[in-house]
Amino acid sequence: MTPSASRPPLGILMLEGKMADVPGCMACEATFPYPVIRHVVKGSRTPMSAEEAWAMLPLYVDAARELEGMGVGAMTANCGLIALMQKELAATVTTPVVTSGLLLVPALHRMIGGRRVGILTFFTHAVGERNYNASGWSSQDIPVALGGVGEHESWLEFLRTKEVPDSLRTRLEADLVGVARQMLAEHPDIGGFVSECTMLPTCLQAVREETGLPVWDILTALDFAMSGSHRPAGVMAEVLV
Amino acid sequence: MAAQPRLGVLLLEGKMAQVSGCMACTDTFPYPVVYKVVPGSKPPSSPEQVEAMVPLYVEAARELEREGIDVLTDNCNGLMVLMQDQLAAAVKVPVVTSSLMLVPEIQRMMPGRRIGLLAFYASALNEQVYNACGWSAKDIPTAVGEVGGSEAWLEFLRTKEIPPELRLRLEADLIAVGRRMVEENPDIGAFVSECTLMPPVLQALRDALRLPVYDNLTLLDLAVAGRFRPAAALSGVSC
Repeated sequence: MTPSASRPPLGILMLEGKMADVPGCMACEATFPYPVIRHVVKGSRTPMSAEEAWAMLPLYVDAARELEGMGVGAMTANCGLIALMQKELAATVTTPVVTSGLLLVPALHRMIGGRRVGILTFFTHAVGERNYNASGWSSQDIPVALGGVGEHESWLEFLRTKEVPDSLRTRLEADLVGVARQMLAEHPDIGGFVSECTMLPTCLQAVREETGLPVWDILTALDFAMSGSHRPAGVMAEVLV
Repeated sequence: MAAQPRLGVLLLEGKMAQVSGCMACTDTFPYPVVYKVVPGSKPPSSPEQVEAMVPLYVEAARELEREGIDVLTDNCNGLMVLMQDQLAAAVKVPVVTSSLMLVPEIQRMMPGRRIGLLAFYASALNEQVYNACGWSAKDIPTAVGEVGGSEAWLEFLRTKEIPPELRLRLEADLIAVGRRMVEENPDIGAFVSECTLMPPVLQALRDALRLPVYDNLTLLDLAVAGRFRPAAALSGVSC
């Protein structure tokens, strides 16, 4: 058997500019248990709305073709709003494309017994039916609740600085858990959360532990996509390889 | 750091394969597993038999939930997905009864490509099963392959053991099935294995065909990750 040596890397389309080099973020090496190739999309910048994201489609199509040529096993982007282009990007390349945790919502909804799915994001105004449709489903069929961290000073500071010093981490976690708790108070039928935003995963384990509910995100979606090319039958085999 | 999540597995009565990759083997999972044999269960061969076992499975699922599991599954895919919605509604933890539940999501990762479905017997796959998984073969192009015609696989089904020489034959026969499917359907973009007996040798298929292969293990890993996925994936890095 030819094991992990032949393992294709994950390709990430990166926005231009400084990105958070924090575990859980797409720009950080420690985030992924597999090799990663990062490719900066020339002319891109962090979108603050669906429209700003969609306007970058031609840039992303070109960059996706370039990244495909580097031999990646799966492809993603470092901003959840790029999921608006899921269909267009996936049709551009033969590599599997996973732009958002939202892509997995229908199956996750079925796993949690048809209960409500809590959608976590940064700015709630940037997420809605258009994003859900781009991920292949509709909130008319799947009950959702939407919550965002965009009104919290802590998260705006993280968005501005792209750094998480220890003192800020405590506030980020508390505010994110607060958002999740508020959603649960308003919708007690939430059976699990899905994060749309690539900045949240750095603090999502706190939400899992504080709410006791499953929380899926871009990282769990990418881990799944990548496991299609590498998932040993046994844990011991993994250790021995 | 919080305790690792625990997977609960409802087992059919009878001997089950103790082979890495199989559900009854603890080496298969990188997280703790709790097993519970469902008294009175047997491998179902019809939708009616599945329906008849729902009360047994609901009761056993609730017992496992009380023991504090984080995700629930069972050790036989196939027709068991016909009880997916009833079982998932009966407990609060996520429930996974078939790897075919992720077929639409996998297809959206590669629109225009066909999904190759792998089963022990192709007869186990039909529109009723797909519908229980939330999709239809009318909307998603698929191809179906089976290992049921292979002596090696019938021997594994009978003995539930994989001595080294049998492993080589299992791998070769499975790869041959996969190759034939790709020859007949060059547009296959990924495989999804529906059968819980296949994961012991699926890495050989991945390496031989250079296509992604998803199975019940990759789906369970996803379900469990909902409860535990540290921000830093590399060991030794604090998070």
